[in-house]
Amino acid sequence: MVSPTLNNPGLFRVRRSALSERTDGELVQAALQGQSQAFGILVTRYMRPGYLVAFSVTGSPQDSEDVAQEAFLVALERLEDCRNPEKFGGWFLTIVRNRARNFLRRERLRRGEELTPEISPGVGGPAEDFAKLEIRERLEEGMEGLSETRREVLLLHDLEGWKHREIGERLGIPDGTVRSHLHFARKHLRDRLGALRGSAPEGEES
Amino acid sequence: MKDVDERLDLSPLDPESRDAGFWLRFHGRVLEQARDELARRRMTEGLTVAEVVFQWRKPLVPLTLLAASLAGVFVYGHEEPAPDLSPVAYSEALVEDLEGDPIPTVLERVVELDEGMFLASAGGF
Repeated sequence: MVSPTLNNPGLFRVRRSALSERTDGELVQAALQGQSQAFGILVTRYMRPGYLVAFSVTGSPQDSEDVAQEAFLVALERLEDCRNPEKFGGWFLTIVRNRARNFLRRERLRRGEELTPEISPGVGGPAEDFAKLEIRERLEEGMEGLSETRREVLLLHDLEGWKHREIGERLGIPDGTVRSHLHFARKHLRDRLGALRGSAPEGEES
Repeated sequence: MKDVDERLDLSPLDPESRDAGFWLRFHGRVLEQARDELARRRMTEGLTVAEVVFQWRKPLVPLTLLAASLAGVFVYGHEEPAPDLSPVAYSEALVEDLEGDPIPTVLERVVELDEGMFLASAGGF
């Protein structure tokens, strides 16, 4: 069986050199002037983190896609409000997070029930084989019970490949806190995965 | 590094793991929806007042012409018809809206009076 805890440097880490050496600030200035290429690079650079932050809040692949997509358009319309263009990433992820939370609130009102963000299984494509689907569902179930911030830290670090410092800057939390969140998130997930596999859990999240 | 060694493989959570073209389509959709806003920014960016006016010249000329035409229609459409200046109409205009008999009628009545009665009333000739 394929283990979901394989060491992986982050399959979807953004290769900045392949995209552009231009900083976020330069790209934001160009996008303010309507340069499509610059905005396109920003989208390439932040579409995965945006999706992951939305996923941390909504727990739904489809909703995360919609939220992240809308967030880019909102960010473009309000680009003048980005006071520090060099910190576009953090500003953008805040937009994503807020929109995802608003989405959850709307859903809660619509359903008339108390909706706790739970990771819901995504819809697998026809090409997705059973083993992959099983792993993904286990991971999604394993993410339940983690706080929104810990999910963000875990996904941005272990899936997107961001460093502690980058995560800290963009989420507005100290590096040490990032490390702490990451440690507990991994521990929680390993325990959950172990429990889901039927093996004894290694311990509880503190 | 220990931190890298402890990394979890969360790649199944990436949509690309089940749909190879996911991010490409995502990127395309965002740029497609952003096209109008980017075009607006390109248009407004760095324009001087003269350039803004110059850009408005095309809609401004037909609008001005249209406004002038409408004003002309409004003014000429409500103008009173010119008075008929024929002699008959002129004499009719003199007696229009007058109460009682017009002067020519009075004169005609005087002519019809008995001459003797007239002289008597005038002073007893």
